Amino acid sequence: MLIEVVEFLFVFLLAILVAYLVRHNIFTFAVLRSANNTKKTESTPVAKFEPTVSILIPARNEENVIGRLLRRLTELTYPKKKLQVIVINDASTDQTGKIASDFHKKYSYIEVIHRDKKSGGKGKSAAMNHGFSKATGEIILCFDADYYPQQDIVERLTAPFVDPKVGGVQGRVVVLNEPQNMITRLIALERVGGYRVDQEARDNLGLIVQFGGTVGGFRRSVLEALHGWDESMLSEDTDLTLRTYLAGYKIKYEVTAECYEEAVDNWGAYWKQRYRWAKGHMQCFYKHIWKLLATNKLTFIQKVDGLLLLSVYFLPTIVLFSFILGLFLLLQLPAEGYGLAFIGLVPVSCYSFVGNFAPFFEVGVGLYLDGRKRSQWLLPLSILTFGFNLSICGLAYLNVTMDKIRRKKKHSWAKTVHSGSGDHYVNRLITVGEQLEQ
Amino acid sequence: MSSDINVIQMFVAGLAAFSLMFLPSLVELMYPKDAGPRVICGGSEIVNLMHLASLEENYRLDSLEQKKLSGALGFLPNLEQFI
Repeated sequence: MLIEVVEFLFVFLLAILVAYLVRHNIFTFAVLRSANNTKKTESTPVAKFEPTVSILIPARNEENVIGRLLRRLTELTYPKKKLQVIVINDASTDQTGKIASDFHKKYSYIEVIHRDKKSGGKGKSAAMNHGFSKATGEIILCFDADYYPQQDIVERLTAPFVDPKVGGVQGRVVVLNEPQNMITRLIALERVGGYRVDQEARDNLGLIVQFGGTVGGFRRSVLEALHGWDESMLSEDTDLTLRTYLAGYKIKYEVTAECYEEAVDNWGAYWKQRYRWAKGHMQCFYKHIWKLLATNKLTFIQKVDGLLLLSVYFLPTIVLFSFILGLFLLLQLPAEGYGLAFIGLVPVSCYSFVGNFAPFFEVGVGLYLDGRKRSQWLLPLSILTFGFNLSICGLAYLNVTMDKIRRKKKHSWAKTVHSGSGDHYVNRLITVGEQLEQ
Repeated sequence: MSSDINVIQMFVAGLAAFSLMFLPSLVELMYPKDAGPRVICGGSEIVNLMHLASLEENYRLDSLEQKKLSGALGFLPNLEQFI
C-alpha cells in the first residue's frame, strides 16, 4: 500500500515538473514567433489618450535614490496638468522627507504624505493605501523609489486603458546598475527572462500577466472595487494580480514601457529580497488557490497558468521531494528491478538537466531578441542564482508551513536597501547620449 | 594502478569540461563587452533638452552682454554723423 502511495506521489510530482518544463518552452517559442510583430509594435506611435494620472511612490529611507526619480518625473513628457505625483514618506529616519518636500516646493504637482512612526513603517501595502486615499487620477501608477523611467512612460502605460476590459498594466523593468558586479549582471539576466519572454508570452497568449508592484498600475475604479492593497500580504503585487483577474479584468503587458531599476548588489540583500518574494508568493497560493480553481471568470488554460504561477516558488521543494521519493522507490525494488527504477528516474534527471535549462533557454532567447549576444556568455553562471534560489525557496516553504501550523498572520516587511549606485550609470547614459548627438 | 589512473583521468577530464563550460562567462566578466545597461531612456532626448536649455541661457546671456556693452560704449560719438 505504502509503495503505491509513494508511486502515485512520485508520478504526480513528476507531472508538475514536466508541466513547468513545457510551459517554459511554450513561452519561449511564443515570443520567438511573435518577435516580428513586436518590432512593429515598438515603432507604433503611442495612442493619444490622456487620462488624469496619479503616480504613487512609497519611500522609506530612500534618500540615496528618491531625488533621482523625482528629478526624472519632472522631465516626463506627459502633460503636467494631468499629472499628480504622491511621495509617501513612510516614517523615514533619513533625508527622504526633506528631499521630497523640496521638490514639492518647486513643483506643485508633486505632493508628499509624511507618515509618522506610529502610523508608518507597516509595509508597502499600507503606504500605498494611504497614497491611494489622496490620489485623484483616473489611472493609478506605481514606481519604487529606486526606479528611473523613460520620459514617455506615462503615455505608454496609460495607452492600454483605452480597452475597458483592461484593469491593470505592467511595464518592463531593466537593470540600471548592470555593469556594477557579477550579481547585478546575473539579476539583469533574470529580468530579461522574466520581462522580455515570460511576461510578453503571457500577454501574447492571453494568460495571466503578473503585476510586478512597480512600473505599472491600475484603473482607479478597479482598485476601488478591490479595496486597494491587502496589507496582510508580503507579495502585494501577486495578490493584486490574482484579485484583478478574479474580478473579471485583465492586466496588459507593455513591453515598450521601460524603466530602470537599481538591482541589489550583494548576496545578503539578494537573499532578503527573494526570501520575501518566495514567502509572499506562497501566502498568495494559500489565499487564492481555491478561488482560482472555482471561478468562472477565467478560461481553463488561464486557470492552469494561474496555478503554475502561484506554485512557482514551491518548485525547488517539489524537485527535492521527487528525488527523495525516486530514491525510496529504487531501494524498494528487487535487484533485477533496478533497471526499471532507473527508467523511472530518467524523467527526473531530464528535468534537472533539460528542465532547469529551460529558464536559461528563455533568458538566452530574451538576450537574443534584445540584440545582446555577448551577454549570453554569462548564462552558465545563472546556475549560481538558480542554486541560491533553491535554498531560499526551500527555507521559505519551511517558514510558511510553520506559520500555518502556528496560525501566524502578521509578517514583518523586510525592506530592500538601495545604495544609489545607479547615479553613476544615469550619468554615463547621458554621456552616451551626448556622444550619439555628436 | 591503471584503474587509479583512469579515475584521475576521469576526474581531470570532468574538471576540464566543467571549467570549459564557465570559460566564456569568465571571459565576459573579466573583459566585458556587453555589460549594459541597455539604453532605454533616450539619453539623446535628455541631451536635446539640455542643449535647448543651454541655448536659451546663452541667448539670455548674449542679450545681457549686448545691453552692457551698448551702455558702456554710449559715450562714444556716433560716427555716422560725420559721414
